[in-house]
Amino acid sequence: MVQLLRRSFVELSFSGNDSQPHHPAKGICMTRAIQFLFLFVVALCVAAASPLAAQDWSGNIGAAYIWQDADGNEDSFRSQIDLQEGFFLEDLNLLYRGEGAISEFTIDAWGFGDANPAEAAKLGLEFGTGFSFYFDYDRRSSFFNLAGSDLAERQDDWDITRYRGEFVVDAWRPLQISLAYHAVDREGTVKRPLYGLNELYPIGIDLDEAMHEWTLRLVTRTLPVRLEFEQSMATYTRKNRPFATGEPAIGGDPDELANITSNVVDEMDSVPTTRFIASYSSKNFEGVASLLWRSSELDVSGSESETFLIGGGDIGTWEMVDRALGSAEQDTFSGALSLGFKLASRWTLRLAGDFRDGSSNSSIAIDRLSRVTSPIGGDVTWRTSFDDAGTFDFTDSSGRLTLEYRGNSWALWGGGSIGSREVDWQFSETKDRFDVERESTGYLLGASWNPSKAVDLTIEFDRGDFDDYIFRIDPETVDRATLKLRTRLGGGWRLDLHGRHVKSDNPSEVAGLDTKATPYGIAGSWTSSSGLSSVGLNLEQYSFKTDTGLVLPSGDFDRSIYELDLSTVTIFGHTRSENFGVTGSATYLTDDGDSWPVDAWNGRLRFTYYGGSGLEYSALVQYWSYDEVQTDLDDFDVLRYGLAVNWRFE
Amino acid sequence: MIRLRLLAVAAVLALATVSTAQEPVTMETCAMCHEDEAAAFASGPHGRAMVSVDAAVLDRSCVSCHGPATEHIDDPTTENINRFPDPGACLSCHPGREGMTDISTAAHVRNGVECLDCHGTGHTKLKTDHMLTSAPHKLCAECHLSESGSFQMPYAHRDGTRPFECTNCHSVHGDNRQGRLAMIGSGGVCLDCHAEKTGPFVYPHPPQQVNGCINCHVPHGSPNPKLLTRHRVAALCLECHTDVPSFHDVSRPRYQSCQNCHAAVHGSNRDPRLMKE
Repeated sequence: MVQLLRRSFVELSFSGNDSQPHHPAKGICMTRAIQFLFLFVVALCVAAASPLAAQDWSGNIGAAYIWQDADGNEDSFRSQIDLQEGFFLEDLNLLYRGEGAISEFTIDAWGFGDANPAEAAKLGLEFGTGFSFYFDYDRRSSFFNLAGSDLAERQDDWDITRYRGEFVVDAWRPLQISLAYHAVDREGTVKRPLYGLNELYPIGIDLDEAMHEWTLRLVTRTLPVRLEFEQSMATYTRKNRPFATGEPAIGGDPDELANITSNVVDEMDSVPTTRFIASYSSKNFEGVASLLWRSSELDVSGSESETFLIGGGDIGTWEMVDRALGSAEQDTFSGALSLGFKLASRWTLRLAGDFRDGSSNSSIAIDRLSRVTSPIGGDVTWRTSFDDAGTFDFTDSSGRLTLEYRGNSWALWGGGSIGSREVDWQFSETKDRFDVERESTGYLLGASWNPSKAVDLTIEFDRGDFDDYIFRIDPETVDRATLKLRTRLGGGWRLDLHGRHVKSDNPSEVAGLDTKATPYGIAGSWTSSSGLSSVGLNLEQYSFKTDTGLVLPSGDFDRSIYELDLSTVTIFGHTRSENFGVTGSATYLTDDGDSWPVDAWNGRLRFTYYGGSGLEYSALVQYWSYDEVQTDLDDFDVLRYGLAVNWRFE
Repeated sequence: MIRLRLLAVAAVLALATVSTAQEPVTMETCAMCHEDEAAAFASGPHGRAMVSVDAAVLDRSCVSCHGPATEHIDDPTTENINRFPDPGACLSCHPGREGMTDISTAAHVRNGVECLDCHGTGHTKLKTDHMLTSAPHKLCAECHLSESGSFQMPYAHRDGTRPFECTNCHSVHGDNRQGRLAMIGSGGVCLDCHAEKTGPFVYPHPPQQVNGCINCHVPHGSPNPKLLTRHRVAALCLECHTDVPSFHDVSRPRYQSCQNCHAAVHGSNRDPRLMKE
């Protein structure tokens, strides 16, 4: 395979890299284009439905403008919450129902505007003839730029945009047929270090990644067993383009990265996925089987070049061009089976099993051309090549059996489980083959008591034992105990308690892993009989400590200890009179653990005046603060305040 | 002969009486008193869905959920009618996928969670996904307090001020699930959005292939950037990697974030050391 790839190399040269130029605004342009396209579709549908009487429409439209005052590191706030100043669509819900060609038309949208990091819209068109069309769109932004983190050298500013259109044929009762198109785009910019000439150099990368998927789905509706069959075909293309930012080396080295370009294309041009689900239920039996098979092929081609100015160019230049031809194939088969039997009036038997098998192999051939040029003329050029191949196979299987006895107001259950995981991989031809099978056994015991809808108590304990290790942090034993109490005390009061303790470890000759996690909490609330007023308090505590033996690069032994001692207190409430309403919440979070203690606040308050004709006028106040104990580089205080108008109509 | 005629009339009357008694009460009958409720139901999402199957389903809808109303018609009190439907009422029309919560998926049943704890009856015109009475994250938070609280962490999966919806990743009913998560064509719920990490890769990162994203990330929320399970990136990597070459001097800032050089932590198509994507 590698030899085949090698023969297909074209002549490698320094001028052979026809990289595209850097387009920093491309992601933004694409997003706007999709928004425009979506609004155009909406307008088209509204226009098509325009002869409809106004009273057939119902819904609400709400928009807000919000101002933002930030103290401290606003980029740190954006890395966590990513809210900004500006206009945004709070909610748009439109519903039309009629007897014409379009029997139902819906639009649900929120988030559009500069202030929000996410937006989504959903359009539904149902035709009286048994056909319907749905279009979903959502976009989520990722922003990341911290000053005091280990990841401070990385910056993200990109969007994931997803859109999905589905045409559903319901005209024939026994079978529902749908055709769907699903796309995911990631566009924007990442800034990160590049390792070169024994130094880290900042580079930017323009992201251009796109996935397109077409799906045919068939669902039976009149057979005793519901069958769902889905066949998908997808393509995924990555054409990310690095560029030099012009900034000096991170470590202060006098060498400079003058240029970095790439025309590498990673393409998965055939990803067929087959999914099959069969489900059946009756009074005494439930069964569902799910199968999924997926085959992917990756082709990598193209070259990447880097040019360094040694000593700022005074000593010379170093140019490298890497041309790669690679491929990878992966087959995945997953299955899940879940069966439930009511054996007698009070006994229930449950059986469940999962299976997952993955098999992949890959190969790559890289040619590298290097050239060192002296500033006074003359150069030295040399060529190296690198061929490699790898395999990665794994098989997971597990089975669980549970038997439950249910009394009038209580239940007891217990069961056992077995599982195995086999991994066989050779990461590279230069590495040893790794082949391990890890098996597990476990059991669980539980009880519940629910004498009425007012009280519900559940306790459960389960344990798992494992042998052999695929990763040194894999546990040998895992114990987990859970308690949940839900109460409805009457008069609108409720009180809930919950707690869990999870412990896992492995022997010192593996990693000496010792992990304990204990989340627990209490929640109480009161709601008035009319539902117009409520108030509540949530207290959550999460203690987590993990202690793992390390072998440092120096060869010394050490331990990695990570500890959280998180307390979260939230109060919330709302009340409403005829014309006024108030909704608010406040949360205080503190981590007193040794690893990275922080204090954080957030709060929201919304005053609403309910005017006539379905109009609502609101004033919003939001507040966030974040305070790291060990450094103040990423601390912030952010106050947001704004006005919103909502119109509800029927 | 007269006796025979009388017997025949009596038999016909008896059959007619039996026939009348077995005739199900229709929505039309209920609407004589409950006009607004019937009209709202018929024009709402549930009623419209019933009509799309068969108009007769809508006709029988009142008694399907509220029980046989023969006694209630004669004596209309709240004592002889199911004001709130029994769980079995929903499953009588929704077996199969929607019904996979009754026997095979145990936790919701054990904790007394019923259909109407999350789904509306359809007596309103408002249309929501799957007739849910509220957003999924609010409904799930009623019981899953700890998980809901995780979204208050500094770094969390959220859409601005909105938490991520639980149903984006979790399959609530018993069908199409592996563990607690939905079985999605791309190979994992995370990869439905983060498609670039799906692979295959020429050089995959084995933990991601075997354990998935949760090997290094906390999906709901974390105190650590990038939802990582550790604050120190080097600690996270060194807990597995015991054969790191000795020139990595972890006391220097440069080596405290392994990703500075080994940027392709999710898998590389060019470099076995995961230094290039």
